[in-house]
Amino acid sequence: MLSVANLTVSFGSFQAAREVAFEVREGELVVLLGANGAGKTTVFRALSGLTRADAGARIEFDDHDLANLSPRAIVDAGMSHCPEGRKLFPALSVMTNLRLGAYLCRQRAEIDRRVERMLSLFPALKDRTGDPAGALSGGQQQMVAIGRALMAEPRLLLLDEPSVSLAPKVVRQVLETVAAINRAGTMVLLAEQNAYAALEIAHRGYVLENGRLVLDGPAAELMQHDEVRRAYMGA
Amino acid sequence: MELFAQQVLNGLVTGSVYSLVALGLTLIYGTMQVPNFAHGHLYMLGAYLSYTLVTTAGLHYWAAMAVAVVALAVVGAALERLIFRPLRHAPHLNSMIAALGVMLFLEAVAQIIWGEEFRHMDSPYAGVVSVAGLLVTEHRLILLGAAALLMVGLLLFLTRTLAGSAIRATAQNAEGALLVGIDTNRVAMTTFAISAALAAVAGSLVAPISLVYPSMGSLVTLKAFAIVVLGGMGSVPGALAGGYLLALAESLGGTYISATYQDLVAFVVLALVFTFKPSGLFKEAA
Ligand SMILES: Nc1ncnc2c1ncn2[C@@H]1O[C@H](COP(=O)(O)OP(=O)(O)OP(=O)(O)O)[C@@H](O)[C@H]1O
Ligand SMILES: [Mg+2]
Repeated sequence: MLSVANLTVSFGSFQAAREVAFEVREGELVVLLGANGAGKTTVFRALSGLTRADAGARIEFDDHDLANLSPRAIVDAGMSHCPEGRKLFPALSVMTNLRLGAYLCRQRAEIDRRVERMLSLFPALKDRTGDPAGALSGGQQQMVAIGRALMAEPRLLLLDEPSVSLAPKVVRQVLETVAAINRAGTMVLLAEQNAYAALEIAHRGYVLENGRLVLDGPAAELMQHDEVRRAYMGA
Repeated sequence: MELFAQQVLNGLVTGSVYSLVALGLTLIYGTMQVPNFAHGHLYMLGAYLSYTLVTTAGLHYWAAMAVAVVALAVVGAALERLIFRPLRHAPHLNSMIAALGVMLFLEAVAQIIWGEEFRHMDSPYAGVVSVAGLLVTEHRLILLGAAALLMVGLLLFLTRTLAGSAIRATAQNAEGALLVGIDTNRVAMTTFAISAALAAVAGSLVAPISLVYPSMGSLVTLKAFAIVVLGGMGSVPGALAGGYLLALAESLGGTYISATYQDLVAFVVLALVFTFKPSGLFKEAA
C-alpha cells in the first residue's frame, strides 16, 4: 500500500503540489483527475524520485519510506513509473527497451520470461521487437512504455496519461489493458484527462486542482458528482 | 595512381586518430550534453604520458600505452565527478566555460611538466613494409589495425552489453534511464572515463609518427567537433565515419588542391553541414 502525506513540490516560489495526501490500497486502481497544469505529473515525478519534494513529505510504500530515495531505489522497492511523454529510448529496439525495463533484475532467464509475458499482454508488439521504438505508432509506443515499466514487476504502477493523443479506439484498448494489469494484482495510480473512461475502470479517484486535492471518493460516486461531470466530462 | 593510393592510406591513418577522438567527444556529448572542449587535451596528455614512460621510464610501447589509458580513464572520471557533475543542473553555458577552463589548465600543466619544445618518440615498429606496391611503416599499419579493433570492440560493448545499453539509453532519454533504475551518474562517469581512455589510445598511437607538444590537442579538438557535427551530435556511427571522411578529404584535398589549406577542409565541411544539413549525416543518437 502507498500512503502519501504532506507532499509539497515547489518550483521557486510556485507550489505545483501543495500538501497532497492520498493512498492506494492493496489491489486498487486509483485515478488522479485534474485539468492541464493541475499538478498530476508533478505528484508522479515526486513519487518516483525524478523531482525532489519539499522537506516534510511522507511517502510510505509497504514498509519502505520512499521520500528522498533515488529513482533506482524506488524501482527496487517495487514502484515503477510510466511517465508522461513515454520517455522511451527511440533508437533502441523494442526488445532492448523492454529488457532495460528489467535493468535491476540480473537473471537472463527471468528477463526472458517477463518479455514473453509482455508480448502476450501486448500481442501487437510481437512482430515489432526488432524495430526501433521510435518507429512505432503512438499506441504501440505507449504499449512499449507500459511494458517497460511492468518489466520491473512492480507492485504499484504509476501511469501518467497513457491515452494522451491516441485515437479513441486505441484509448479504449490501452485502458482495458490497464484494468487487466490491475486485476492481475498490480496496484495502479493512473493520471487521466479522459475522466469518464478512467473512472469506469478505477476503484477510487482523487481530483487535483491547482496543486491541491479537492475531492475524493469511490469511482462510481465521482462519476455522478456534479462538479466532476461539469469540469471533466463536459456534461 | 600511386600518389592517390598513398594519400588514401595517409587519410586512413589520420582518420583512425580523428575517429577515436571524435568517438569520445560524441559519447560525452550524447550522454551529458557537455561539449568537451578539453577533449583534444586529454589526447595530448595521453601522448605525453606514453612519451615519458617510453623515453624516461623505459617501458615497452604497449605497456606505456596501457598505463596512459588507465591514467586518462581516471582523469576522465575525476573530471566528470568533480567538475561536470556539479554543473549538471546549471545553465549549459557553465559547463562550456568549465570545459574551456579544463583545456587551459591541462595545457598549462603540460607546459610546466614538459616545457614548450616539440618532443619526439620512436616506435618499436620502425620498419618499412610494402603493401600492394606501397611503402608503409609498420607503425602506421599497427595504428590502423589497433584503432579499427578498438572501434569494433567499442561498438560491440555499446550494442551487446548491459553497461553499453545503459550508456545508449541514458544518451537517448536520461529520465527514461533513471526510471528503469539506471544510475545515470555512474553512466556519466563511466562514459567520461571511456572517452578519455580512447583519447589516450589515439594520442599514444600518434606520438611516434608526429610531434608531441602542449597545444597539439587544440587543432584535434576543432576537427573532432567538425566531425561530430558532420556525423550528427551524439551519433557513434557518425563519429566513426566522419573521422575517416574528414581525414580523407584533407589528405586528398591537400594533395590535389592545396597543401596550404589542408587544415581548412574541416571548416569548409562545418560550414557546408551547417548550411545544408544542420542535423548531421547520421541524426540518430548513439
Ligand atoms: N520544472 C518546472 N518548473 C517550473 N514549473 C513547473 C515545472 N514543472 C511543472 N511546473 C508547473 O507546475 C504546474 C503543474 O504541472 P504538471 O505538469 O504537474 O500538471 P499536470 O496536471 O500533469 O498537467 P497535464 O495534464 O497538462 O499533464 C504547471 O503550472 C506547470 O507549469
Ligand atoms: Mg501531466
